[in-house]
Amino acid sequence: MRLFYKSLCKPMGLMAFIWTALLLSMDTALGAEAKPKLDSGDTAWMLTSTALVLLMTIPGVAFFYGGMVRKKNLLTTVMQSFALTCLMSIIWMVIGYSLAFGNGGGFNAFVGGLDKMFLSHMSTDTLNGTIPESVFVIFQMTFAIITPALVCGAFADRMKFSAMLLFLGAWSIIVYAPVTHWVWGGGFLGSHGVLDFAGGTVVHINSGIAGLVAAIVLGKRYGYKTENMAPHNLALSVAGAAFLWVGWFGFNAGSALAANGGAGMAMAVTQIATAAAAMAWLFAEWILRGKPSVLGIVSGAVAGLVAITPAAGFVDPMGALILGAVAGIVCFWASVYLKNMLGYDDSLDVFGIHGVGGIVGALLTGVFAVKAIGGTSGLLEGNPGQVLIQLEGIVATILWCAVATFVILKIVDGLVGLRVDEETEIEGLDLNLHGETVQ
Amino acid sequence: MSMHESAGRAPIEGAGWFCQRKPSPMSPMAAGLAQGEGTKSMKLILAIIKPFKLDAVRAAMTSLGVQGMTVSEVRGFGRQKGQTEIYRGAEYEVSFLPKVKLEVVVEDGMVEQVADSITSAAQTGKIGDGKVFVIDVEKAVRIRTGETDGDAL
Repeated sequence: MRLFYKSLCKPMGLMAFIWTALLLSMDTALGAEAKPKLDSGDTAWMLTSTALVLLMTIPGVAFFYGGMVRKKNLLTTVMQSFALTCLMSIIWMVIGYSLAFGNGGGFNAFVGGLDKMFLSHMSTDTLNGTIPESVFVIFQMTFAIITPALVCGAFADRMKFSAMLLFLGAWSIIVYAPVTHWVWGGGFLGSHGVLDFAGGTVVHINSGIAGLVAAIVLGKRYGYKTENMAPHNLALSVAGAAFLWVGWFGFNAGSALAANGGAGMAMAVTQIATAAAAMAWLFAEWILRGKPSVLGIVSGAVAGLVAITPAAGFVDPMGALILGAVAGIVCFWASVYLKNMLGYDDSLDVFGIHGVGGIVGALLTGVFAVKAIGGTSGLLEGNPGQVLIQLEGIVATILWCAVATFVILKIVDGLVGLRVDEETEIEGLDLNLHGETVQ
Repeated sequence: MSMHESAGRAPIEGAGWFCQRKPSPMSPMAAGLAQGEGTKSMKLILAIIKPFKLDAVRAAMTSLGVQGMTVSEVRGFGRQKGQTEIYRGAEYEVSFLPKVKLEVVVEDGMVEQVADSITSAAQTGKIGDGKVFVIDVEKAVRIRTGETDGDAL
């Protein structure tokens, strides 16, 4: 018997060798063509991420902001998130996606073209990397949805519904889509090496600056600093913050556009930075104001989520820990002290958390970037120039956003008027703008 | 004519801290009341107390035989200062504190007992304990049966 098996050894070995060689050569032949194929794992994850990010707006932002306003404005606030979800979906489909990710020809450094308007380029077979184009489009759509929804917090309690739709509709085309193109769509910031994994500039600095400008242009709420404007239901805000935190895994880990180690690391650093920021804000408040508050801890968590957004695919856990803690403290200072020092009424601290958090996160990405994780080194790995490149991205976004937002606001003011009248503001927007109340 | 002369009655002893006066017998409505069944004067005892004392007060009243009461959640302040609430950068001095308003209508004879009972059950000795007021009630009707005044209580 043994003799029989022994005699088979040589032919078996030869066959194994030939088979392996064949396989390897096939692989090489395929590799030479370099055509990405649909990866069902990546696709499944991206479909899930899209749903997670949509949950961040409805009901995440809706509840987060809704709980913070007075009861008479609750419906108005959640309406803003819901209506913008609908409006932005349409705008993105019609022209937003094309301007963000299309080919702008001679202007491609600054804006995409109209080649992808109405998503006419898209079929079930169209791929974007290893995932269907349709999934990529809608994933990006959820980002285009949440960014204007965040802006609403700055002018809470005092903006007309019609003005809000006009302002943010135009804003998404004139500010959001181009800045997206600059960073991810082939524009100049991406080609200059700005690191923004999931939208620190595109989403957070953008919404923070737009919010600040809007808060200043609309002016302070009637009774600001004298009337009791305490949040009417912080439990609702906690629910919203929870949706934001969990959904953010889709926001950050989903920005890997793949189900792989990069996505896993992005999720890990997101969790670490968020927890660090929440604890940092909590303790800062405990020490400086006397009591650790619920509003404080959820605000700290969101600040951490914002700050880790540009860094999620580039930093390691240690970097995330420090980044989160710094963001928690700086955003606490911005929301509690800076706002009162400068005197603007950024009602729900959109600039304090998203604007400042985005700036801090973008800068610290340049500090903590690890080549082994995201392909680029930061300051700590001996590449201080990255911080300057990050600064370029920050400044470009701030300038364009501030100027364009101001102009759009002024035009909308001329068309329909931005602010509700005093009586409406005092009585409450729910009843006057929407004819509905919560009892 | 002074109030007391027209009423023709002296104030009841022990009721020093509130005023009691029978309705003047000269008005027709008063005459009707005077002839009503089971005519004993009724009083509305209105108490503002700290919310956590509600159970203690309720137990005390039940043990006195008081049949029912109305309770509402109100906000108010007397000498007790409010709390400061802090929300991010905004501080609010909240003057109105949550209290419970208790309303019960009893017959004259029970008023002192009930008022004293509420006072001792609701007392903590700290500022913000509340107040008790006693108010005249002209008429009472039990909706289900139509009984009036004392029988309605």
